[in-house]
Amino acid sequence: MNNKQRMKRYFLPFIFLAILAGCTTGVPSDFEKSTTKAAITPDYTDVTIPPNIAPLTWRYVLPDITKAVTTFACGEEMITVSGTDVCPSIKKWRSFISKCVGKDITVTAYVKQKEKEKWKALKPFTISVAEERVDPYITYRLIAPSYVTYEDLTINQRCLENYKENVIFSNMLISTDENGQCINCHSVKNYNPDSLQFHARQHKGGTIMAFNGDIRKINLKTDSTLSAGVYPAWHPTHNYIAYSVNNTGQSFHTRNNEKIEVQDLYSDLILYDIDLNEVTTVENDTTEWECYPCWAPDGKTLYFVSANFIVRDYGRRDREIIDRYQDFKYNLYKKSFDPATKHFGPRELVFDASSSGQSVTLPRVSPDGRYLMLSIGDYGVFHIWHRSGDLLLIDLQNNYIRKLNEMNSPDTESFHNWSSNGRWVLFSSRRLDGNFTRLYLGYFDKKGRGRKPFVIPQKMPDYYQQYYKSYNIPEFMKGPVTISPQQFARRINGPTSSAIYHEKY
Amino acid sequence: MKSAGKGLSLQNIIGIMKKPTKHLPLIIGLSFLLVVYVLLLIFENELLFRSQELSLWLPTEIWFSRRMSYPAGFLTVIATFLNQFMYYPWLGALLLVGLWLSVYLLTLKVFHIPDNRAALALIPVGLLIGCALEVGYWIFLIKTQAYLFSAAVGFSFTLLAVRGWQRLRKSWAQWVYIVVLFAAGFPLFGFYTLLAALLIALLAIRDGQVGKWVTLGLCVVGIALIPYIYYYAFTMTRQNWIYLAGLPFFRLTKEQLVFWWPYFLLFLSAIAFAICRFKGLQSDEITRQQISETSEKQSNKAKKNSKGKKGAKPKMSREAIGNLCWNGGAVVLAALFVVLFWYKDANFHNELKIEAAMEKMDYKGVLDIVKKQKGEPTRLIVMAKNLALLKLGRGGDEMFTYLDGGNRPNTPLDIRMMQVGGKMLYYNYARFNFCYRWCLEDGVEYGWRVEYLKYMAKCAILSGEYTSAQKYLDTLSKTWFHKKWAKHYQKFVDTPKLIQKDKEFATILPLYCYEDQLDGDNSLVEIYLLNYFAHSFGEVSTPMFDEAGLMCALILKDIPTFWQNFFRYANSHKTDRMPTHYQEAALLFGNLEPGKVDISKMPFEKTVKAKFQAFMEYARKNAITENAERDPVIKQKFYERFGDTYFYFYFFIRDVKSY
Repeated sequence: MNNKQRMKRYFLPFIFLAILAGCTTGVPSDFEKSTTKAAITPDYTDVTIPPNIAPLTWRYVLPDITKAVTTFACGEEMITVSGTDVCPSIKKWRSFISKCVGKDITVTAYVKQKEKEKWKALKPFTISVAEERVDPYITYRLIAPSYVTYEDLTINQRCLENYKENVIFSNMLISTDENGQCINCHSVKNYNPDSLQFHARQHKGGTIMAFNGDIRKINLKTDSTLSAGVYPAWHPTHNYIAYSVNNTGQSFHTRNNEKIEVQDLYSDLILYDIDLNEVTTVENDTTEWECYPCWAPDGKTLYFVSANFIVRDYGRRDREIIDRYQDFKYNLYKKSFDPATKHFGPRELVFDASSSGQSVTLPRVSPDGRYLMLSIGDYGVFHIWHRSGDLLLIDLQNNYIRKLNEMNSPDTESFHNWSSNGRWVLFSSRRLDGNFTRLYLGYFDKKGRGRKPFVIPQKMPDYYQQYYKSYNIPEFMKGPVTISPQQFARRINGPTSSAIYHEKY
Repeated sequence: MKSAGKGLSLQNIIGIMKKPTKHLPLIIGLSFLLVVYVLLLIFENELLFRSQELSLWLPTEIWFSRRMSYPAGFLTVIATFLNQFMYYPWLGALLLVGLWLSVYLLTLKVFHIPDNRAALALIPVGLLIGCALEVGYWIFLIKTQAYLFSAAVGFSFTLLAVRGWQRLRKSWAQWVYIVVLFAAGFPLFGFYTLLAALLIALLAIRDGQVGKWVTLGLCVVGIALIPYIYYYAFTMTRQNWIYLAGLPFFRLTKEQLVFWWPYFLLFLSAIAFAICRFKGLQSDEITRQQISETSEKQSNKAKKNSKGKKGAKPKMSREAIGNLCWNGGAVVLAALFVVLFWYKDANFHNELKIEAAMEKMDYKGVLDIVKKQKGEPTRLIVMAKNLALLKLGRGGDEMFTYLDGGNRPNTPLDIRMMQVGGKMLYYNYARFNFCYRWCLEDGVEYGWRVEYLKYMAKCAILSGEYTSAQKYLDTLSKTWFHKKWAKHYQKFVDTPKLIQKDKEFATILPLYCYEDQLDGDNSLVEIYLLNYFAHSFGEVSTPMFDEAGLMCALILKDIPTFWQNFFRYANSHKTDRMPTHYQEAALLFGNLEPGKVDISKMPFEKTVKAKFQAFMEYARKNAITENAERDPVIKQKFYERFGDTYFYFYFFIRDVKSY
């Protein structure tokens, strides 16, 4: 018998047993009960999840933890996961969760710490499973939270039912070292992945629009408008997109932890008619800084935010805007709209945030048209850099306004969107580490109350701790975008069609 | 064959060349690379260390999958893995030299270079060394991770891939191998796979292999098509650039073409070796019998010679001379490539040394380096010197006693001080937001690096952003060589009270006494810092902040700004002696603009007054022409007498451009 055979004979059974022992997922029979609640990261305690979400994964944050067994119990159903990193298999999770719809799951952690040899059962926590599903896909841009440089930017899509993520478009397919390309402001129409638009800036720039099976590249800048289209809002029923046009600058805090202030030096609103390739001005008051258009679901009202700012010294206009950055207070307005004639009514104030020294941005109306969610902060329009940034909810039925504190945190909350059934809110927050934006999903019940949100689960529990990019502009989609990144690249490399300016209707 | 005498005479060497010995190629390679290793440790210690600070290897799935999302990602993984050992330069250099040695040995095998011409295999090695050591300021800008190792790893793979193909005997197996090589090799090693395929094709034709045209066809089709196909698998590269995946990101511009040269020559040398058919035997082809037969024959021949021509010196055969010429020429050529491409700029190396000393808070060490400076320094060296003096509290007496000026970094690259040492300056001047910002900007642009993460962690700690600091410390604690560093700074996150007691932070926090404002530096560190400190008059101040302001005002040469800072400094240093340069400046400006500030009652030291009078007298006699301060002869004359005064700096250090 040679050495190899001897090894096999004597050691393989031990190895097999060791593996088997490692895989044991049995609940310890001898343990003591602890009054301590399980500390886990990311925090999934007492959250409400959709029935079609990918398995939640987390890590126990306990000193000297060596072993852990976690049980998920719902009625008579139970699954067990062993290990200090709790990573249920997708198959097991799906089967289990399908039996827990509309119910609570009790999660109990049995842990073993070095000093205390005995198993300890931590105080259980619950995970509620809502009845309403969430749209299976989301899209977002991945960007490092840098200020001037960006290098590789991607617009990605992620299936919420598993961990699969892929690139819709990457600027590296076009960028060169000398000629970088920024991609931004992607948006889909009515959750439909086949109708989407995003902007490519600088090198080979233009607005890229996948629409009606065609990919177009359009230059939305005209001689009569400030810039090409920036923040988009697809009209829900017609082939229009409302945009803000912005001349944006940024300056840097020398000491403040918020680090940067992004400001518009100028901004207006335009409407783009896709069929006619035509741009019309919607708002262009020189004392008003209009931004972030958003349609009501019926397409007959356009919401937007606007700050009134009177420049005192035109000789140093830009510097004054920077110096008085805290004077920019955006209010919420609306305009009536007739989709047939493209005629807008006069602006009407919906929420006067400035009267309470606040500033609101990013209006988003729920699919049923009842609620309007905003981001509110102390000043300015770019709340992702403001620690004061919170979600704000307006009940359009009774004009009741409140901060959505069920979902807010002491850190930044900003960009948000509603799911197609209106029961889920996807928003970005910097609550995990203060600098990197992560996506949170929160349940919004029929009574207009939010529940504790949770960070989009990843396959690895410490993914976000290790990941150095921010998630940006999250939107729901009903399915995946099927156009390949290379198809987009080919189109971007191709010719651009310039939009025509048309006087106000 | 016995040698005629002790030691290695020319005849011995010829003798060795004549008779291929099994170890000769190894001896040649080892000797050459031993010299390179020693030179590396003597001259590039700081570069080697900095190279790992400007790189990052993490044993995590996320880090790995991110690298693999780019074509040739595995090359980066290996290169960064090896590069981390540069934390101990002797160890990292040993690995690098080991890799070069393996390239040398593989070159011998792959191209069947006979042992008696083994030194030829040093040519690609010399070029590889050139590829690595030409780096200079690129080390800060290059987007290729672990640049020092990148080409060596890639080229080793090329040679290994070809060697693998050579080991297969059957044609069909070789063809399958080529297909697998393309399919698996290209996403992992990019261009170096294509190079391997090209060499395989050339060797197949050179050696007249069975089915050589099929091999050629496979290779040509693969080279043309495989990158194109993989373009659809990777989303992070442009179509035409995917062919070059794995090569450094030099631009194909006139200025940067020079950096491509060692690469072009390296690939050309490999192609040339694949085309040339070498005569002679290789050590692994020589059987013991052949060796004994050969040595017997040569021994008999030598005996005959010694009998026939007693006392006569053994005559060099034509073959031996040929071998000597080939080997000697190859060694010289390889050495020439090394010398030619090695970046030897003194300012660059001083900057590296200064940064290393600054990291250790060895401010005296910084001054020692600057003291030894020969030739005009870069602004970074001047700035670092001033910073070290500020920390030591010696700025007012010494800041103009060192060589001054503003030599541009010796590189065709558009390099900014920000990218070289700007972060260190911002950190030490307590501009944490700006240091953090540029670490982030450059991390995004050039890839995350240990150096950036360290500064980001420290800035976050000092700004009170502990959760943010935790993220960077967590990342650093996952590395192999920076765990200790992370552990040291972790204690400040866990117990922020310790920050005030820390020796390092104690030299920085006195400068962290400014109020917030919106600002921007336009990536010009020096201009920003000078203007900032010279024009900051907040409500809260510290003696060190006031001194920084005055030092900056002196450099700006703006008289009203000087007086503002001078009086502020005087107020916060009431009990201290007024340092020499501040006296000099006050005396000079008081005389240049008489009446604006009354200096008649200022207690100037006698030596300062005497030097000022001597300077003015000397100027009356010597600087009589217009623009005399720009005349190098006059400048030198003044430097010799007044080079250590502010007067000299004020009048003669002109047209300095920051970057």
